[in-house]
Amino acid sequence: MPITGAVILLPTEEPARRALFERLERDPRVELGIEAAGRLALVVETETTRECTNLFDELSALEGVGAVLPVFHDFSDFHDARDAQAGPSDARSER
Amino acid sequence: MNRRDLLRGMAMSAASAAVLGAAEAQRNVVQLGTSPRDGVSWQKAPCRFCGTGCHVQVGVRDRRIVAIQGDPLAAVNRGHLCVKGYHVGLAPYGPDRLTRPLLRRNGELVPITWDQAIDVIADRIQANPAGFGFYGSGQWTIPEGYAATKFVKGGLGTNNIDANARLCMASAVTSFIATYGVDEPASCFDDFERCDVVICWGNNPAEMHPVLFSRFIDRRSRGEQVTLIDIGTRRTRTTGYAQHYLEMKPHGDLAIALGIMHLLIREGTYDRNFVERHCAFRALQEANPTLQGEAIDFETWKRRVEEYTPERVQELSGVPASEIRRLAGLFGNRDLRITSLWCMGMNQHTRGTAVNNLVHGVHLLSGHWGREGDGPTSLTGQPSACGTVREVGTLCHALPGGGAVANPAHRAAAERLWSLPEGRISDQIGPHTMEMFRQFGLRPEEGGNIDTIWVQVTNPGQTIPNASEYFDRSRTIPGKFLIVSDVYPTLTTRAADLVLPSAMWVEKNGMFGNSERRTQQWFKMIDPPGEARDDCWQTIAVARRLFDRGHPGMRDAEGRFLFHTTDERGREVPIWDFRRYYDVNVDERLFEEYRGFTATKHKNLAPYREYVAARGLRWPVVEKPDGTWQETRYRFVEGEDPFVPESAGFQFYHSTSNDDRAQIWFHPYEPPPEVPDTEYPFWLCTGRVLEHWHSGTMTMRIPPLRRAMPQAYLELHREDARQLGVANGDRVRVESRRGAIELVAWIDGRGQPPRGSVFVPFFDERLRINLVTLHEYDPFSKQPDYKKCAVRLRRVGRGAAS
Repeated sequence: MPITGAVILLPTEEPARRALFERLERDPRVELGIEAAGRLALVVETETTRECTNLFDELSALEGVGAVLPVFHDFSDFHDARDAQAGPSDARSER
Repeated sequence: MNRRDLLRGMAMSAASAAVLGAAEAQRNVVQLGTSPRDGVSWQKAPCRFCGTGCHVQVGVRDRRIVAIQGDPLAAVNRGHLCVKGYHVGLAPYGPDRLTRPLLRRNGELVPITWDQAIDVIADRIQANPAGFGFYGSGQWTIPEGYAATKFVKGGLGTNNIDANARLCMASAVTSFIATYGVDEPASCFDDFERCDVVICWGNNPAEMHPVLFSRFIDRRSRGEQVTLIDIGTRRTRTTGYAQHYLEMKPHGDLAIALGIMHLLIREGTYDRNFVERHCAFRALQEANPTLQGEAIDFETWKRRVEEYTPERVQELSGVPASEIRRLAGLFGNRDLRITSLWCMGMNQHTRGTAVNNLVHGVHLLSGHWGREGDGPTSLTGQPSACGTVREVGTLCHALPGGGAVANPAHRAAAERLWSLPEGRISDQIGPHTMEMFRQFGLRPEEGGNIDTIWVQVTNPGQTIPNASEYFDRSRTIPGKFLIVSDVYPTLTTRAADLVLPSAMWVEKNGMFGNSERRTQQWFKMIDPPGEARDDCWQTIAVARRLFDRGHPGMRDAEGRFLFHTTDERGREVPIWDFRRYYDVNVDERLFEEYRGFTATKHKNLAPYREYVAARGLRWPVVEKPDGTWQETRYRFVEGEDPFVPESAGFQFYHSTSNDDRAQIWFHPYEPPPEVPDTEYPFWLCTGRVLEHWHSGTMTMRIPPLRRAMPQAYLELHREDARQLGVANGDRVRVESRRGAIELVAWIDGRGQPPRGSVFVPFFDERLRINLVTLHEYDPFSKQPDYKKCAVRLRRVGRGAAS
């Protein structure tokens, strides 16, 4: 399960901010961090990277959101899955 | 704490650093890069993709990249990433990396050894040195491009080398030279923090340079007022952020710039003081139009812009006269700070040099120049189009450090720095990209003098316009030999006679130079797969093979190998043997040699070690009395540029008029070379998308990006679709006078072209839109126009939108 850190450039209008926070707070995949200077830190843990980028696309499209900018991406699971697919003897042979 | 908790903590720490800014970042970086965490070691590198030059921290465990963090200490991106940067760590891990040299025998590519491959290349070069062309890229690292330049210009004694940056920003180059006498933007990305107005000239940074664009959006999130004006031929994601969208006809940008100039003169709102002190006027000589042009006086220049009234500009550009007045009003107000941005829209243009010149001219005439946030800024699409292609001499006319092969003094200086015998470097400008591939596609008796091309780090089979004529044709002519170094199979490797597997990004040492003159450095972090090897090593190995065979060009004036390298005790290191290539830091050696070229045009660089410590430095970089090295944000500006004396204010010290003045050019409006007619009634524009980078070689192998944007498509207007009987998802044949392909229709998609206009991205090798595009190019930059040609559309059937 990839783990992603990100920053949201927040809406300046209060109703849009409220709607965004409501959306984020009800999402169990999201952990909110500090907010400062119109930016919000968050961490997202999803089943797949695609699910994470879908979430970012959805958040970006919300009223007033300036951008959702990823800052950290751990994808060690990608290699684990590939190793499992390749089998133990093949996993390192291509390097 | 378990591993996932630790990772969540690291992710939150990175996000917090990006929110809080430099102080928190400084604390964070002490942890990063100094000690392994969770078995992960972290090192810095610039992102592999676009010209923004974001820095990332690359997390490596068990010799594999397992994590990416935006570098919070990097001034360019301050820890932020875009969707491509977020996935950049996956770029080396596509399932079909090239791992062995392959030679075409009886129609099939079969594995051979590296030794055999090097022999094949040496044989081809020796058989016809003048017929050998090297074709590289703005993804070449600085040392790779420098080595290729030295090999061809200093070794083979030809100038048969060019790079794919010819296709993406050559018009910016010719215009910088024509305006300021020297290439590269004078301003920098700091403009985003101070500008009041951003004008995007045919530019879509929200998709193409998203992190850079976010710096401007970030200011809005903090409640600042910044006006965005989007001038374009179709609505894009950038339009969604704009207060004003000015939809222009193709080539309308020429007229718009002329219209602004006309009004600045008519209304008397131009900056008289700036113009009188710092500018001269210029136009093409009718009988002999060259990049130098001819000096004209202000009165003559004014008469020439007289005809470009707002009403006339409305006719030519389609932009309402009131909007032209609005633009002129903004430029007439010197209390504002205005940043103009452009990229392919103005560069891929058969009058690219002209429109670049005119936009520089608007800023110079209005005095919106040289203050933070107030100036013209061209962007590039590749990570080192600037640092490599434009600076180390990989273009067919150029020498390292801004030199020109036509200039005897520059040739002599290069021969001195390279320890070459006098006269080794040719004064004959080599074939530019389009000419190189044209000749490659002709038989010798038709003038096809180029018979061998070695392609590194680029994919011309997909990206050359009018590809059947300019690329595919060569593959049918006996005796033409294509060598390709790449990391994945591409349309170009599939057409090649010899394929060489290359190391990519952090599989090797490297240096890039981004769009704001920022030189960046990284170290090798992981091994390349199989037998893949550094491109730079490949060039040096071929040079050595020629040396061993007695090729005189591979010896310097003292008889030493062209890439002679010694260790600390002065003993030669055989860097042509890959087992010994990393015995010394070849990048450092080449870079230190290249530095010797850079002072001539005031493009000074710091020693290599300074870049190891920094997140890039913007040249010119000069040493201060205390021994530290100082970068430059704004060129030609007193107090910023170390070469501008006190009290000068501004000084264009490479002025083509030799009087420290910048040139304000006049160029007339001219229509595009091919316009829609009854037979081909639609405009076609091509370009990129957010998820994929250029020809998709890397990003189409990153599963989440491929799934997000799985194939190319045809954007068209709803009303045009209705008239053609096309519904969303239908297959449509797009045909020009040069070729045709079938695409899936996307109506009201991400971009929205106006009626009579369609858009197709070029990332998808299965749907090669460059079979359709036009090969016409700018007369000075030789950069082709991918943004406008005439096509017709026909519904083929219900599509299987996969």
